[in-house]
Amino acid sequence: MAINHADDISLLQEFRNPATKEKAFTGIIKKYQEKLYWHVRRIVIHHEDANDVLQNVFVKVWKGLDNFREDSQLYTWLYRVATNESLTYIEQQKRKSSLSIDNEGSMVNQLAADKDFDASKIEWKLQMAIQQLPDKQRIVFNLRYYDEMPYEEMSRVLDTSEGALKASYHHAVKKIEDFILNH
Amino acid sequence: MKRNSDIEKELREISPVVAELGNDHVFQAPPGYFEDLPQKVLTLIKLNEEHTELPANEEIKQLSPLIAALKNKSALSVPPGYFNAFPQHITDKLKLAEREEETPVIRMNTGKKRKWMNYVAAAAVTGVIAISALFLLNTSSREAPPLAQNEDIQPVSSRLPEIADIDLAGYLSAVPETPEWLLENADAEFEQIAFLKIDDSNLSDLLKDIPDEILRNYEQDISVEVAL
Repeated sequence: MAINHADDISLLQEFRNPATKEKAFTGIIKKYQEKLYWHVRRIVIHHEDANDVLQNVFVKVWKGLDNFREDSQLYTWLYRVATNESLTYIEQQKRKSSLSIDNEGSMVNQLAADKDFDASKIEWKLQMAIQQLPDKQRIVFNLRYYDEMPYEEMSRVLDTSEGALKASYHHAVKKIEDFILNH
Repeated sequence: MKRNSDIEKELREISPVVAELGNDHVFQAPPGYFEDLPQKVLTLIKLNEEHTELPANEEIKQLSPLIAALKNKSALSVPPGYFNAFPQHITDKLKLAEREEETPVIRMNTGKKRKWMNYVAAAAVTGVIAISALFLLNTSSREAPPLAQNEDIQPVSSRLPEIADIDLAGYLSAVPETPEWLLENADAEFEQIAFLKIDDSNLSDLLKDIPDEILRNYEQDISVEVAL
């Protein structure tokens, strides 16, 4: 995960200047939108839901960036906001539908609703396997597998010890492998 | 599970009923849990002790070459041009939200006017309470015993001797006593209405404002009643 932190510091300085605030914010969106979109999308599955969550994330970032403490890295903070927002969203969805999102059937059904879904393809099997994981373990797997986030950073994003994250990732990989080999 | 005999004895002394119950587990651990647990704990300890972290790519290759090989196969897709339009979409949304926040909200009943209205409201409430209290007092006075039974108020006849003759004579001269007095003092219209002096000449004047249809209905009703 190659993130240019010097670039982030420069963007933050520009954001604090009213004359360049909007330009800097657009720069932050352009820099992180794809990473955050895919992070959110892998949690909430549907594009429309991911779009809603991502918009809320950036609106919250706009409101909270003035109080952002530079002792934590911008991208760590953005991932934290995006993760919390995604989890809040799926919790709301759970309450609305009175269905457990952890329920294997409901998550696989959501995945199966995608226009490109093809259960015979290995990439969709992988997605189905990921959906079998508990919420937190799924996020750990996604951050490490797709975003290649170092455990140290992930620890800041998820407020969990590095050891627990490593163990969680190892368990997740084994579960996914078992699923793919047995389905 | 067999209990220690001392513990069983103690339990039997405290409660023979509970002592009779078995102490077998009702919960079950997943199959193989205890066989795998030592290795899992050792792995966790080893992972915590590792200070050199493998890059994510290397780590997944070591953990599962199968999953590592799937990494570049993307299943989910995004609409074309989504990321190009997204920054502008967010900027527009924020501007709209700011405009909505800046729009002045004109509040009714603010400042001095509001204070004045508060006084009016307070006065109205006080008035309602006062009127209600008066109403209640009047109601309760109506429920008082009749005058004849009221010991505080004496009958008129018992107080007549106290009234001077000249006052009584003045009162009686001011009050009309007969219908003749009314006839002498009332005007012609009052006399007609009071004593129903209606004839054909003034009947048309009295009925001119009543619609024909109502009169016809009335006539029919009367004829039906007479026929019955």
